[in-house]
Amino acid sequence: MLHRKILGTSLILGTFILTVASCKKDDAPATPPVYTVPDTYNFENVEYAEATGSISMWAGFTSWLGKGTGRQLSADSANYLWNNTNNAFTAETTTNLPIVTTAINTLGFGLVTKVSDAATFKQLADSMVKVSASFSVVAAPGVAGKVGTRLVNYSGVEFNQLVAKGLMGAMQIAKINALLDQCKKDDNNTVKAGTGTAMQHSWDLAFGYVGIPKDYDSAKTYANTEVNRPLAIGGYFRERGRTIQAGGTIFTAFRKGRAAINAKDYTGRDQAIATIKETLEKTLAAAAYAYATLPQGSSDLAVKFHAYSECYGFVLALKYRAATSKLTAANYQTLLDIMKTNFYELSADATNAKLKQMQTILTTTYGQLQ
Amino acid sequence: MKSTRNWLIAAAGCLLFGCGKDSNSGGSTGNSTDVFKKNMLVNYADTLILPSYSDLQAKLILLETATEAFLAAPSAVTQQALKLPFKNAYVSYEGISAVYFGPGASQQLNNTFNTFPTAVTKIESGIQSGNYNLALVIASDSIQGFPALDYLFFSANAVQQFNGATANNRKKYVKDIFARMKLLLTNTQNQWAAGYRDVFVSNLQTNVGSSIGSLVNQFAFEMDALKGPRIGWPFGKQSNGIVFADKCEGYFSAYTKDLSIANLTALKKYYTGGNGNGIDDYLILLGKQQLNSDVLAQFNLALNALNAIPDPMSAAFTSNAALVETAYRETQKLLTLIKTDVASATAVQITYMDNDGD
Repeated sequence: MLHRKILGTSLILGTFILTVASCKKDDAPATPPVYTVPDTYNFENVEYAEATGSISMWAGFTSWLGKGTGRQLSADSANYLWNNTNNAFTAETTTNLPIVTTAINTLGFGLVTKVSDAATFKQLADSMVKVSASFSVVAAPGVAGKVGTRLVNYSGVEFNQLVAKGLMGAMQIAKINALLDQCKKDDNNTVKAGTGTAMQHSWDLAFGYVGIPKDYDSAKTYANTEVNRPLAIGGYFRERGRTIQAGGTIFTAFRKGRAAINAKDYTGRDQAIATIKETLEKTLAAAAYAYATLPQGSSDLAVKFHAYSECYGFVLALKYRAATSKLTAANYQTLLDIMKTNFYELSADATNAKLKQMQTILTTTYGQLQ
Repeated sequence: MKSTRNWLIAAAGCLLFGCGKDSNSGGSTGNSTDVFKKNMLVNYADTLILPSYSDLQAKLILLETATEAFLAAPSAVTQQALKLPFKNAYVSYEGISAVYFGPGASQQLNNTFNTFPTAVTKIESGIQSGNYNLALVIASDSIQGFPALDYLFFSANAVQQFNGATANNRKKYVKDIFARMKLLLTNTQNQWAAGYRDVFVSNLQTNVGSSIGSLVNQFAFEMDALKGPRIGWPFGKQSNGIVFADKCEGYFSAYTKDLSIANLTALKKYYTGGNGNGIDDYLILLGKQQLNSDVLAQFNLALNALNAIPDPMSAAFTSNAALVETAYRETQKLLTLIKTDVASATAVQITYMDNDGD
């Protein structure tokens, strides 16, 4: 068993040093590994172009789906974007991203190969394409169209929100969790120039899938013109994950874990993995909680339906939570069933009983989220 | 405002400042404050909200009676007889406008009763074709409720229209509007009676969806509406000073000023809780005496400024722009006080608008 001690006080500004001292003399190294955790993700042989590409495609694709509020979307374009063929990404929806439009178009892979349950999410995107035919219609119960600025289906659902938020689970969290599990099995001795050891590479790819810059600052409000800004779930650390301090916790854990791998401190690595998995899932829960809460304070159907749709998307994302999750299958099913309620019905309940039930499940499972 | 509660102020102060985190998360802050809040909410429900709904129901029935006489024999005389009942009902509506949460919101009451400006073209095409559906909550934008009646009853050639080719369809349209208004209002009253009142008075938190949260949000929302659609927008505040007088509330009947004053007066009454405990007393309990007197003073400044505008307000937008400007500024100041200062003092998060970037 190892006893760890952190020397140094500031987690954000300063560099701190981990000292690992042995408690049991028989199986611990004679001299404890001492290593430095840098305050940015600044390590040797870091490469995660695949993750950057995937996140950029997520941004381009979901932004394109959002254009359905103003024009009819083409089913062909949806296919091309999803598979990343026919130079589908254009400057209209891929400006200010970590990689430029031409680089996205020549990635050589599409979201289709990076998303769990890809067929399901493609279907949701296709539904948005279909609903976009009604962009100039006024929505009503049973009729797809616009509620304020929001484009919804016959029951009030904004499909693009289901895709955008759902993929934070089906792509980001699914990938991150799988890569973190993989890295435990990877070799950590043979260094390849540019990508490091297999373990380091899995770890770096996982970090890339979080969608935050290497010099991430959890306290900063990033402008949406900044190329290296937090994207997808990375953007929600600040938007909905501030109470649980998601951004700082996850960024620190990734840096600690990578430093631990460099020093072959696998206990440190595994602690970081546990923290990352738990906090990522909790971020989804905090976002779902926020969007189950916010519409209770509004009488505007556009606000309500938008919030319900975001909430639905985050609930879809929670499907990809780690096996160690505290959220039971039964409670997850309840959350999902509530989100499947017709939104007109959901909004017509003055007491918000179902939304309150969601809040209770989420806080009982995860503790205070807001 | 009662002085017997001074001891509570100190107690509440300790509790509130002792556990700041609780007030952020909407937790209740102790027994003495809870008793106060419960009394305040009972006062809101029983002496302000429920009687206001009843008043509107009664005024609607009076208006409907006058309407029946008008529809039976449309003339300048029967039209004239409509004016006062119409004004009374519309003014009464302003008394429930601030209660747009819970059952009212679930019924989309305000959306149906008072979305303005009137969509004249949509109404006329609906009357022509007989093809319209007032039950579509979102499509109900401005084809029904008071703004539609305002147009149908009091536009320049209203009487002529009710005697013209579309008379039958037009009369049916008016009756459908009444049926819809009465249905939603009755549904709202029933939901309050059937359990929401108890939910409302028992929810002592201040978080999103709580009773106090809803009240403060609606105060701010109503102020936003007064500053925006009621005065600012027709006055040209969103159109580089180009006046859109016909976009104001009650344009055709020229009750714009009465309605805005009724709205703000009702809001002040909701703020003070009438003769009982209100948000004003709650602020005092929280030790925010200065803020409370600032808000009350600003209510009076804004009301006086509105009163100074000559009728009809739609004409004053151009002929007395300086007076309207003053009223606009005073309402804006009041909005700031309520939306930022009162909201933060009561630990209420403003949630009515969509501030989400995506």
